[in-house]
Amino acid sequence: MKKKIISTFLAGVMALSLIGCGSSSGKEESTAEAGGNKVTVKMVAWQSGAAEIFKEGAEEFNKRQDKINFEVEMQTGDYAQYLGSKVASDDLPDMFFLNPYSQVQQFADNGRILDLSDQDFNSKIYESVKDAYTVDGKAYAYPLCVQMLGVFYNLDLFKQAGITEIPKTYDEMKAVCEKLKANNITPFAAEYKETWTLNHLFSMLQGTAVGDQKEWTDEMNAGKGSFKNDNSVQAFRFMDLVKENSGSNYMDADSTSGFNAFASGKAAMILSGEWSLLNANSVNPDLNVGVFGTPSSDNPEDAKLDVDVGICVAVNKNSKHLDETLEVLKYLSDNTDKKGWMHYTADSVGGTLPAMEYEAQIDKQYFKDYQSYMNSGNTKQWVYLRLASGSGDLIGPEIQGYFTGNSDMETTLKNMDTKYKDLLE
Amino acid sequence: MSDFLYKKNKKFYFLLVIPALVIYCVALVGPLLIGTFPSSLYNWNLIKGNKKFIGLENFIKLFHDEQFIHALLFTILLAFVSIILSNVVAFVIAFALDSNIRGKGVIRSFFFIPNIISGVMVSFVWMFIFTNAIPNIGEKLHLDSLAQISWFGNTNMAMLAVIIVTTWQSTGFLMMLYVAGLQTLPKDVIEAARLDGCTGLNKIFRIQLPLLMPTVTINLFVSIAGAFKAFDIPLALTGGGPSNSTQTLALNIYTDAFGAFRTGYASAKSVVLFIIVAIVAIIQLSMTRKREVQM
Repeated sequence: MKKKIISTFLAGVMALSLIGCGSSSGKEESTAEAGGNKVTVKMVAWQSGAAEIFKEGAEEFNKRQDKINFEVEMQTGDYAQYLGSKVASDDLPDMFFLNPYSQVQQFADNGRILDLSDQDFNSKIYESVKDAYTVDGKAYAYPLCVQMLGVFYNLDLFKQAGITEIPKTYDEMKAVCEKLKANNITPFAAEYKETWTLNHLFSMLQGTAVGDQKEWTDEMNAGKGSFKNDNSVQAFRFMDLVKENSGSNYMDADSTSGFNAFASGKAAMILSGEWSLLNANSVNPDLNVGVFGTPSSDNPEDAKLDVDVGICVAVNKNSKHLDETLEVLKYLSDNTDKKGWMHYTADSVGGTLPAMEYEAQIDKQYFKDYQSYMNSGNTKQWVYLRLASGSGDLIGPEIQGYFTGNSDMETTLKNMDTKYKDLLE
Repeated sequence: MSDFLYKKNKKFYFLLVIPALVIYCVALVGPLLIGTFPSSLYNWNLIKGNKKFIGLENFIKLFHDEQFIHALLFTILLAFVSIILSNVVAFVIAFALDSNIRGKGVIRSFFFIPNIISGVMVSFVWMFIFTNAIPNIGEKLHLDSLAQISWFGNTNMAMLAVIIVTTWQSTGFLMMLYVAGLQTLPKDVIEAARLDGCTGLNKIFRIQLPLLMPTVTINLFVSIAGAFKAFDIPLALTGGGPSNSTQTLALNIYTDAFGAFRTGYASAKSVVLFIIVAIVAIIQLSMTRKREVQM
């Protein structure tokens, strides 16, 4: 009989212990609040390379006051999938990164994020990027930064290969690759194992191919347009060039190894954004780097730099600590603070520039290049941000299929059209 | 005796099952019945928030979905190859460890370790081996063909990589079952066979393997249900790439549900996966039961 009682008891304990596991995380939170007497505001972010500077920026805020504990949680891997699972479990953090345009719009439509129209930052943001975070005239997110996509190049390696002028057309680009190869320098750093890098590459090329980016994306989202047009041949011709000049085993390299290869001078160029330089600080601080727009067509005027709002910060409408969260948002958007968030995130190589007036302190050629592109208005928008959310997960793998030789241009474009229509349903 | 005991304690045994059964119902059966099954009949996008009843349309659509069919075929291929490969390797190792060699216990645990490491860690270790270690060894040995292998660059190699890692991880557990099985074989039968001059491969294939059949059946089916749910290794190793060619069913459902947010459609796929795994599990149970009767 005794045994029976014990075993019944144990079976019950087993069941209870499982339930206990589920709720333990909630308890921890409350004890931390009571113990430290501080309210924790959590912001979930991507960009693994920026983990350190985000942390420093948050620590600076925590040092200044004793009411709020500002925490930045980094997400690696596919951020859209992280968001999806958090929405599914109704467990969104206080603040979180969102892609501008379509993603902000989606979250605003389903009423999950706070209307920030009455916040101070609105008057300071560049007029040209208003579309990125507003829906029906209301601001639903804070545009954290403007970012650039283009061809980053190593000035020393270019000099070594005797290249004096940056390429502006496809033929010039091809000549650059030939010269580099003749000097035993790998032209492009590979990063194509991860599909998002190819989504970015395609976005740059498609932006040139469609001409008017906004008109094309509007048409696509109305279910009318197509990924294919008369200039597609040029875009795919450029991808062939990239493929042939990325060294051996180019499909095995993920973004981290690509960024490292570029920073350590193993390759002369990388097709990416300025975040690819974040690693450079630790790998090779002396890296001499510039940037130019992708020269995929035969017209030199098409070689524009892709500049757009890269990241928006949204506030969870159902956050338990709204006032504190908005306090943190003020800190993030303060462009007069010379030692605050913007100092940590913008004043270093690979740092991101605020979407408002701010004098960044970066002494690198790529920053000067960026400014000259901006001053001459020689920039274009990122098309992938305006396409429906989830489009990156279909474009990236299809382009990867083209890179591995599994499909040709016609099939790739046709598949993308079919899958995009499915996505809109 | 045991029958009598069973009848006497029937109610008590049932009582012992209840706590686990309750959790199982709350965490698995419940969500399946009130969540997954109903939502498979809706066109439901989680982030847009629209939810429209469309009947069986999702199911009709998924049989025309090339990506889904490909994922299904790849899952079957992965299951088939990795199950056979890991069972053969596990048996060979178990057989070697069954003889009198030094440090058996230590070697056995070395082979078992991969089984207790999480699939994600295993994948990262192997990613390093594929993209760094092997090319470097190839360069050092001046074997260009080895150094130039692109493990993730084309469909076949990426599939091979996933199969290798899956096999490597699952071998240890199967090996333990084989070792246990080999040790329970009656010594007198093997002794008699040896005296009759039956040695070497003959002994393995005509005496030991037939006697080991119950273990083989169990091992084969133990790995099947797991193989159909393969998720962590393909996700961490290839991310389903290149161009979704190593996407398993579970991974395909995941990207649809949490990448494209097509919750209803992904639920329909889950229902199909559920039916497949259920059929396999029923066959597995009925077959292992038959074996038990024979023993």
